[in-house]
Amino acid sequence: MVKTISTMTPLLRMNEIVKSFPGTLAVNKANFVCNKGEIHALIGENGAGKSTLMKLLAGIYMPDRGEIFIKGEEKIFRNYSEAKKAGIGIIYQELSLFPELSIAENVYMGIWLKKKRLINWDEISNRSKIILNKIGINIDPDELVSSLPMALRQMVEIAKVLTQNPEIIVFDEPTAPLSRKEVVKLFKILKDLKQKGKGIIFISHRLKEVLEISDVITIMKDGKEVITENASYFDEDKIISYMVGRKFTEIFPEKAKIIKEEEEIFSFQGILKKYQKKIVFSVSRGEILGVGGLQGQGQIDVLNSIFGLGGCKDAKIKIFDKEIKVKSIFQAIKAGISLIPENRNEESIFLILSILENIAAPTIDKRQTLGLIQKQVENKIIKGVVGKLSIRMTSVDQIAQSLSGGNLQKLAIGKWLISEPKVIIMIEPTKGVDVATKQQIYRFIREFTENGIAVIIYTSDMLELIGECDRVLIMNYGFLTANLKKNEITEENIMKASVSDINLLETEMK
Amino acid sequence: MKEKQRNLQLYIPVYSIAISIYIFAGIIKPIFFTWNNNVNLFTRVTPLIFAGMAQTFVILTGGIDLSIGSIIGLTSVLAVSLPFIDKPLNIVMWIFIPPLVGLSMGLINGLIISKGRFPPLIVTLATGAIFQGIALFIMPTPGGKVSLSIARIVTGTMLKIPNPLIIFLVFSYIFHLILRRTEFGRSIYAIGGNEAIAHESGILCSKIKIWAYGVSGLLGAFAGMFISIWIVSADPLIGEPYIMNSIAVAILSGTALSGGKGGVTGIIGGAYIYLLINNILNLLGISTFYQFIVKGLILILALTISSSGIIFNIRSILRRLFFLKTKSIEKMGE
Repeated sequence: MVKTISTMTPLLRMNEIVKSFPGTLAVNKANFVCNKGEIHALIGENGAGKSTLMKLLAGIYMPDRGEIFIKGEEKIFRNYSEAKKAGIGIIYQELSLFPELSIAENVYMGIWLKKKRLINWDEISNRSKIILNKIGINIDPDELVSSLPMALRQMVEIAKVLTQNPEIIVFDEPTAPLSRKEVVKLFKILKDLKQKGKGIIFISHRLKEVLEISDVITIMKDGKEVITENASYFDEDKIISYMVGRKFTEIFPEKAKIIKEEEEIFSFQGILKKYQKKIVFSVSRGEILGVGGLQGQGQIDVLNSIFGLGGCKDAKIKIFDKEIKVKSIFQAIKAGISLIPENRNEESIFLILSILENIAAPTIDKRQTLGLIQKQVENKIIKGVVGKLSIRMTSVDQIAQSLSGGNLQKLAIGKWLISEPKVIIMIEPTKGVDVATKQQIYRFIREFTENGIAVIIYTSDMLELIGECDRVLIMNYGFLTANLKKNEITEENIMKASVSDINLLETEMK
Repeated sequence: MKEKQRNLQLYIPVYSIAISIYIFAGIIKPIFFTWNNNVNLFTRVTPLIFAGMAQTFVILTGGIDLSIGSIIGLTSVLAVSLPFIDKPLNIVMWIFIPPLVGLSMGLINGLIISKGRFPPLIVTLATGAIFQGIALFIMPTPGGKVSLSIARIVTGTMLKIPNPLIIFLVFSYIFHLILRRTEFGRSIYAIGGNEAIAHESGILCSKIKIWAYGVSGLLGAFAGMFISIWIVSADPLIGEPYIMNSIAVAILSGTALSGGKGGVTGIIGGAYIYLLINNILNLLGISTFYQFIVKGLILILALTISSSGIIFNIRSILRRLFFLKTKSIEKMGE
């Protein structure tokens, strides 16, 4: 598989790397080779294991098995500092800058240059200016980072990494927040670094850009590399065909038989704050609406704003043809909207409370007389819910903490069952959950829609979109790029809509 | 915006408010402008400045020190319990023992907080109670004496310049320098800004934090020593008001309670604002009860300003006055 014809020892070789997390095998015997003076693109869908592989390289995680060779020498990194010393620099999407400090101080963070034991600010300022000039930007290094636009902050981050003079530089989706003009600038920097003999690993979802800049492309799928080839071998369709095509296991219930398209039980209209794009969609009776696309394209913002958490402005929400104002979570719950967040341990479950208390929490005001909770009524109702969800437990008084991930997720769903919601929004409903529980959860979701509840699922799992949803919306850069129905819901279509070219979109939509 | 400009935006309002309050006080009571009154103010503001700086160091790391009052109480008690006859050895002991004790109390705070990963609020509340217990054990009732020659040096004048003025100017400059120009100082800002990134940048976070609390204890000791000289005796409970005073002064002088932003450059202004408001209330003959209410309100007001930016309007006016040209960096430099 490893094809790069080279007589030299490669700069970086990752050999049969394995890394598992509870419930998932994130990286499964992956191989990766990067040579000197090469821009090596690493691509794959969400959860294909690219980011995990790079975190293993940076020492943020330790591999379960496998070896990492730098210039032919085996290395084990226990933390990022050790990786840095070995010549690895990473530019993350979430930047690691101090906004309240100056650019110069950020660039030289941790390596203060001194004169007579006091920090020499002039020297730091001058040297950062030189580094910043080298990558082609001309800003005053004494400016505060907080006063810079996003794109320039990223340049500062690059400058910061360059001070350590790394051999291997990883760019984790650097182009996501950049405009086309800025991307061109970034690519110039990349080419410059390449000429200096650095090895550059470039993670991106924007296939046009990948084809434009990279020399070699490695495509990952399910934690393993599928192919490593020279970029000239690929075109966009070829890449997509390698990225998709996973095995499809039958764990999903049957799709909706009757969808009354004319009967819209939920509709949303609003302007996405982050991208200033108008979003309009609706859910018909009996259908499960899936929302997909690459991570962080505005999907969560839209769903949050339905639940009163902001993200969109001028939001207009209609439930059963009744317009509803949602400015806070309280109003949302009152209107019959419920949201099951992704991060259940932090956002939806009280880990130190019992199962009973967890399920009772959102509807506690419904079972009161004279301000006292009717314990017997509560017990009865909650036992019903628990039975329906088949949560594995000793009693309803068991503490939530001791439940497994799958059961916790059922608990998170069960919480909202007794409130009789009209709209249920689920974010990553089966993340970190075993297959059997997944199957059950999918069945519950189907039942909801059969009972006339509007269900909206956001998931980064492509199989879930295809198997569970009746209609799929894809978001990309704040645009709704696809509205796929029935047979149109295929991996190819989803992938195409997810990675579609932004510039094209900008012109088309205008 | 540059760091210097930001700092000016922070400190110009602080000092201009302090000066306006001073002028206001002088208009109410012209005696305020007399030299004697000013000398008196220099003496009274010094412990506030020390306590404020002590709190600033800790707040900059993102923590808080509620034991500062007890550290002041204990060190002032220690300062007057030492032999007070003017002998060289006694004076050396006086100069070194309280600061060392203050430093070690601060280091204990820092150790518990950073090694145990406990919240600073509770740790310093607890250690504060312990330190106060020790102070009360050493000296159950107010009393004691200090060496007269030390008292004369510290609160006296030199070439007609009052020594407290020199003391607080020199010390606030030294600690400004520590925060601005040493690795230790800059690490404090990094930790307060984002501890995870600071750690990734190779900063030894727990060590720096321990020493930040240590420096805070040391500064608390200076405040305690100064108070004992000023009142020529000590009271184990004298530090108590300084818990709130120090936090108020730190916030008034422009340090963000969230950490990573601020410093001691505005400390003299902040301390003066706080002291002068108290003085005015005294001059107007307002009862102590109301004074407490006013102090509490000032703290809340200062917090609102520092966190929500109500001051923004004043700032933008000042910016227009002082920085007429605003450089546009929205576009990438070509």
